[in-house]
Amino acid sequence: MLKRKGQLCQHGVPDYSGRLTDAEFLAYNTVFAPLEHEVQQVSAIRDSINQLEASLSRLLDAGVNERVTPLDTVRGNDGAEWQVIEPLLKPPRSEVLWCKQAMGSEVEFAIIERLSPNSPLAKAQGPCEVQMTSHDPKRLIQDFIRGQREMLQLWVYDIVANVRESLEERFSGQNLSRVVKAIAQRCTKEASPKETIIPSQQRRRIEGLHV
Amino acid sequence: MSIGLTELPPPPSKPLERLAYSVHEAAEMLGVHYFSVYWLIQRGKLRVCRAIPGKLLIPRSELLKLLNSE
Repeated sequence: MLKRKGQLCQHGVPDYSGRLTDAEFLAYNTVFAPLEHEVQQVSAIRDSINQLEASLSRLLDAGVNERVTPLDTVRGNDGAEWQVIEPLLKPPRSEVLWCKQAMGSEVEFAIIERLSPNSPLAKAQGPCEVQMTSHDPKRLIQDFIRGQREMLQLWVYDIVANVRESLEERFSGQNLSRVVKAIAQRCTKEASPKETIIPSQQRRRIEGLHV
Repeated sequence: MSIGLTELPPPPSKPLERLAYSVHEAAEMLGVHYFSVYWLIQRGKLRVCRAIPGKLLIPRSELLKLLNSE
């Protein structure tokens, strides 16, 4: 069995092809355990986004079909009253809504985030923030999906940066680059739209390696 | 020569304010989940600085701007 610094590389971890030594495995578990719930949330949002993409035509039908009764109406922070077509996402403490309003002969569509009304942000900005609008519903949903995937990538970069910082604080002086790499690969997989092989250049960027 | 406690400068009357906050800290201050904060950052509604590679830090001034825009 392969050895590093006299220790056997015997521990496998999810989504990482290499094996970790006892010291690396301890560090991995120490920093990953408090993150596990957050990584599950990344994965849950990724799944919701995938489902939205898969049901795009149904969402568009619901948006343009006049016979569909709106679920609710909300007043956006733009002052306009919007009809809720369907909730798109339900992350903790908020809800992302797919909405429309008639503007003369045209229909305008919007993505609105409804926050908990007691939050300081809702008190300052209003509980229903109009995030995106368009007269083209397909483009709006596609832009929303693309934006959410970019957001997940940003989230993963931040998780990995926090992992690196936590390792430096708790295990100062040890070379734990393989631990960072293993956690980065696990998180990236949880955020990826499909289970694909991550291009090496992107992987290096996430792991903070400079080439 | 020893310095007595009475010669030390008095402690500041209030704790020093932080210049920037992590996404989780910002979410707590705004009363939202960090999903909402990452989304604000992705849409460019919340400016970030990156002191450590990859780590997102939100300047206090940006949070105050969001909270004082009534």
